[in-house]
Amino acid sequence: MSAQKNYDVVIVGAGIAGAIAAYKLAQAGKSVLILDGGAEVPPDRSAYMEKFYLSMAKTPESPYPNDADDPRPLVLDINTWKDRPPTGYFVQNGPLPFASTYERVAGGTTWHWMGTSLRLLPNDFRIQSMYGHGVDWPYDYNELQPWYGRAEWEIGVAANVADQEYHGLTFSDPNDPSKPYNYPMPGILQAYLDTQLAAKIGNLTIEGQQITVSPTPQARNSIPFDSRRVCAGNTNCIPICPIQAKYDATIHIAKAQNLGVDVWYKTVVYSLSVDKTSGLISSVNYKQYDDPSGPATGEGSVSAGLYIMAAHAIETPKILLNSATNELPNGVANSSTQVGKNLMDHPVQLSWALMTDPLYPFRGPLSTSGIESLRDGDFRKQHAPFRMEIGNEGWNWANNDPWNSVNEFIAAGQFGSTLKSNLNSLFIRQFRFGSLIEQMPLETNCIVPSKQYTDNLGIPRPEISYDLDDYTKAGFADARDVAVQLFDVMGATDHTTVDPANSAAFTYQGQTYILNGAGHVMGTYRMGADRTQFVLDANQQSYDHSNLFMLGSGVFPSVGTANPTLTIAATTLKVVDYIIRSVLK
Amino acid sequence: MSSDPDLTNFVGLSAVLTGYTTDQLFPPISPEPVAVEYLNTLKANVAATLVNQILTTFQNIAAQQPPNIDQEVQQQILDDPAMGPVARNIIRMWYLSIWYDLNQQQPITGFSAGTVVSMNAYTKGLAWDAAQAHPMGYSEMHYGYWATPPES
Repeated sequence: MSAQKNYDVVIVGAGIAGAIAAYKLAQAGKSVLILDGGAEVPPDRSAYMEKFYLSMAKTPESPYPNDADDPRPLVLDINTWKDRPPTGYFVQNGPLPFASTYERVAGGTTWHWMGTSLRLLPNDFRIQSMYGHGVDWPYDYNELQPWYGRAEWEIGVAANVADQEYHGLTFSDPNDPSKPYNYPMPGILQAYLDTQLAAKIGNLTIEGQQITVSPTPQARNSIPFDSRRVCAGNTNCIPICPIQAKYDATIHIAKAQNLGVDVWYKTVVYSLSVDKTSGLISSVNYKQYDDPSGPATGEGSVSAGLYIMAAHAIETPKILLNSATNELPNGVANSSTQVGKNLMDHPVQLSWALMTDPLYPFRGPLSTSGIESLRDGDFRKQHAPFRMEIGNEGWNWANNDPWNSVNEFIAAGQFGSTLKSNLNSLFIRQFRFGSLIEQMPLETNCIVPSKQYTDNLGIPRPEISYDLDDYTKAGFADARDVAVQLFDVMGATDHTTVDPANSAAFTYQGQTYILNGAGHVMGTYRMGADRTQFVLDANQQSYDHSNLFMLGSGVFPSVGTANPTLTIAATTLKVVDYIIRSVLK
Repeated sequence: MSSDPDLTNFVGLSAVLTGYTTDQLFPPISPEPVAVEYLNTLKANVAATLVNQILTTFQNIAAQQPPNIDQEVQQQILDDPAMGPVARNIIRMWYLSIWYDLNQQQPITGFSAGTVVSMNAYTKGLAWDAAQAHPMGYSEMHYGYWATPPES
């Protein structure tokens, strides 16, 4: 390994949080090292594109390497989550499967995020005070508001403020609150499908909320921005944007490296060490490999003045808990015993339908609009809120189309011009809602390092227990009811199917539903005002070890209904500013 | 059209099976004609005698210039217990760019085992054309095209 420098900061994880933090720290003159378990960022994305094109199952992870030494969960693992020994990376105890996945490659899961860049709502920060459910954040929307603005400029978000001023969201210049705010790029044009749906929904109120189809703020280019191209509508944000018109964290890895940040790839962190006298973190311990399916080729430790965990909400608690010693039997940073607990997702309710008139899906970004109307309201006293993402990919997620329907029609004996025109009639009228429900934190939803199962390098695999509480399930059921109501209003025909034998099926009040993951892995090392209940203080600093900070959606005390990446970027910028001003000054 | 009689017959049969014209399936000016890849894939995966039987049967049908060629192809090829499954796999290959393994549980579904023929083939799958769209991950369009219906 390269001769060790004296680093001010060591960061574990080269995803969006670690990469932005490294860049900002380097801008402030700090020497920074990032450790990442995956291979280095490829010089271009052609090899990933080839792997995507040639994959039979075009899952989110399909373009990326699947390395035994740096394993991650796969979407299709969910079909066999009960198998023992486990066939996937996760060891799942249930009673429901944790249905979301993530990447362990430089750039992290932003390789295949949708780009949706919604802010959390003011009431999302105070759901306990307002509605008596979940927990409040240690600060309010106004405190994060300028950091949202800076994050939107940092990663490049396209939106128009006038479209986003709902549910009390306010916007002002991050550096001068008396001035108005503008996103860095004009909003992405809505798909034809979105405008058709909006027209058919018309003037409708549900649960006291006017139903509005809103353009979605998206981290993709509507004009050239940050030396990157304009979106060409490849309809492939997930699994991979072919032209990097959508932001991903490799952009900040490159910016950080240009400022002298070192990145050690294929370096898998498995524990932290603590100095017994000072109680400070003294080193990060890692294994390295060369051949991604071969044995470890090295093992070592690296030290710095400050440590930042940015390995996302499964790997970070796995490492902290795997650091247990005689002195710290609960693991590192875990005097609260809350590390690994309160694992959350945005459970997704999928409802799909056929419109009477053509909508022309499979064109444009994967989603350009959503119904944000039911993200807040007095109903949050009774059931969880949700946003309804409107998909531009027909029944691709819902029914594996076009593959399933083409095969179904051929198996039924269709061919020739009949087949062609029937497929046309079907595909151009397909649409779906994916409702992302706010999940309440539960202590019993947890990730621990498995005592029984290890990965190829001998590191414990994540063992997960997961369920939904009744408040969350009630939101899930309501999302389904609202979808059906909207289909009725629009004159669309519901085609949603529910197979009770599905490995992710659950019942609530006599109805069966299918749980889908949003890919939003959250909770597990949350911040809060009470050190007996939370792992981190409001600056995302460990209550137990003052030279340890943590980034990412793992810090969210509760998760609202905004896709988490923008809030990850905003909280990261806020924390790094605090570190530069108050800790490493 | 090609001077290779196998290719000529394959494209002619494919036109009947898919509902596209021979010019659409084998454009006069095409740098990477996917029809050649598909015929090679067919020959690599199906016994030569059966491939010959399918192509010869089609050649004979076409030579008679029947009033309803679809009906003849259905009765003589698609309804044939040996040729039918292969012909249906040819349709799948044109629409989805996939050669599905023939020796697996029937009917073949979107989750059955198979192989994407090539990157070139993926970008030319007819299912996307039937949807008046483009292959996911392969757009030759420009920003904002999605705001209006496609040109028919």
